Amino acid sequence: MVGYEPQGHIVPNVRSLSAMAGAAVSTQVSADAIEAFRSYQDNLRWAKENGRKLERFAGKYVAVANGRVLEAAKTAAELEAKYNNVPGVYIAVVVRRGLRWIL
Amino acid sequence: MGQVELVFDRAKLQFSVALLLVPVKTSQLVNAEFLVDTGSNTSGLSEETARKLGIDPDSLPSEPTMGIGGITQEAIYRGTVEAYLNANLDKTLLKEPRVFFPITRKARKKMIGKVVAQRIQEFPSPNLLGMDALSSINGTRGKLHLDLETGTGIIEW
Repeated sequence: MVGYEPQGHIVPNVRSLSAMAGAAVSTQVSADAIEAFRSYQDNLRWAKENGRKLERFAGKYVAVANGRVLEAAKTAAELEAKYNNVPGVYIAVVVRRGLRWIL
Repeated sequence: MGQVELVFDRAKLQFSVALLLVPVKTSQLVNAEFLVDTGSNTSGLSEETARKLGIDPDSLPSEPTMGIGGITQEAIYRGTVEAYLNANLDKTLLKEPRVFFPITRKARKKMIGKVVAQRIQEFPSPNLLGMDALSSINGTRGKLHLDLETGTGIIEW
């Protein structure tokens, strides 16, 4: 089957930041950011449950949103630049079928 | 009490979860997928995710780390990354996560004793949710339930 390498995707619309102890930053999360996170969760689940539909993109990155593949590209950067305005878009590389995983 | 449902990849027998990460230096939250890894007591960030959080992998110190390749020197972020598990903003902490930071063979020769991980193909490393993250959800210890028969996984606290 197909595998998807996790990638981080930036969520806009954070209202404010305030420093707190240590290196971490305390963030107030906007409703838009939470909604984008919900969409990201849905898109991740769709990608995992529809591996067969992504097999033909093996070796490429795909952008997934709203139950479909928006586009495939050679790099994540291409897709991030193009679909950064799609809340919660899931961008991941499709790994060839049968790859052994040992973490 | 709360819970988050994991996503199961039936083909790879892997459970993963989406996290909303709080940036370290930038001002934008980051959505990211994490593989659940019960064999790790330290969570891990891919180089790509680390950079989006404002962590510069080039600047990180290295520490001995036990992995499938034996004990190696790996890049460690000596800070804490906050992560939300769900839309209720229940929070976990990734304490001093490892950063999967591949280097070239040439660079490796110059950095013996520092970071030895290599990437043989230009695919990103996965983010790993280690057991450290389950130990600190809203200040309490979490429970992990995995059922490969039904393909369901839950973290609850």
